[in-house]
Amino acid sequence: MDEDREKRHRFKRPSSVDWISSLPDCLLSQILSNLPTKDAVKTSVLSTRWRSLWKQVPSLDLANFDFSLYFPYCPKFLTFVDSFLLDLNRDSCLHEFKLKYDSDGETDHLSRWINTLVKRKVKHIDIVDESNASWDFPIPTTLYSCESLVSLKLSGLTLPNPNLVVSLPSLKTIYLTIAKFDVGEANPAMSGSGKLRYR
Amino acid sequence: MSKKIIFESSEGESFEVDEAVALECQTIKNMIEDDCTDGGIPLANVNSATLTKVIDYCKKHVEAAAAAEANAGDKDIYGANKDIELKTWDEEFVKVDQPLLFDLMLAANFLIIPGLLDLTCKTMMRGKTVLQIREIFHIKKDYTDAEEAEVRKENAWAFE
Repeated sequence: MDEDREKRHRFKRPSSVDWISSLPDCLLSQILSNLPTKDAVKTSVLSTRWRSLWKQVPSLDLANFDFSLYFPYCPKFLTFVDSFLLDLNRDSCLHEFKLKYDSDGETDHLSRWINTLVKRKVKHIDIVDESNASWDFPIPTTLYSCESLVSLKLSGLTLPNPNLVVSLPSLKTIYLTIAKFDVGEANPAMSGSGKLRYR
Repeated sequence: MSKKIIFESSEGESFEVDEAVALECQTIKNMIEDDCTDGGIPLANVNSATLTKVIDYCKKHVEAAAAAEANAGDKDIYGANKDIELKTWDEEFVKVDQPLLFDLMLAANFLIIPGLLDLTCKTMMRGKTVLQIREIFHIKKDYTDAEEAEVRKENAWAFE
């Protein structure tokens, strides 16, 4: 009985020890991936162990008001997204790309991001563009060749008519709000996505 | 009568579960496939309190999957409700104190239960300020003031 108690005692953690910092990077990165990017970046001040951990997180969840409350169009925000995608480990797949911003009709960024996302085998895309000027801008058709894509959420953008072969074998949901789906005639768009469930 | 699997916690306590429940753990699944589960599975790094919760989680998710399959025909009508019910159950499930949450995460990582690992990781720091995180996890600052200022400057936008 005494031995039992001793055993049990051994597995009780002293409460004042920093256990979390000794976890492997992959677990910490999974914990951070569930936070909005701004909160993940903030953990860099905890200690040297945490300084660059947020950079390993394979997800982005960002809004332009994270950068500036008063100016909807924020160049610093665009630069940050660019450098995040650039720094991303070339071997790792991107889990989620979630943005809420105002492009002010400036669409070069988004085209570039989408192309990188496809290369990085993104699984979930959720983009809200609050600019009125982007309404007619069709996102690049490279998106239709994103075989890893599981869910696609767009707001304030146009999903273009592919006019070519669509290969989205992993896609399960498309969610468009205030977005256009440029259908055209005899659109083969979704025939390439076997798992798609219409909602 | 379904096959039973016996787990043994770090305290030496035995837990008998249906094979279907044990199969929720990828690690155990591999052991079952390799036929090395006779005489019980000792889990030296999972204590009884944690193991009880882990088994609860696996049971619930096996039942939910079975129920979803049984209702597969009505999925469009009821599927969504069932999803919400399971989500609510998950949320209640992780309302535990920090040490147990931590143990659950480690157990999920070791036993390879992706759903539980995701759930515990999600809950670990969500909605907490850096100050709270530092306090809860006893993370000591090892920066000098100058170094900390530099870290803050690197991504000044996040600290404004």
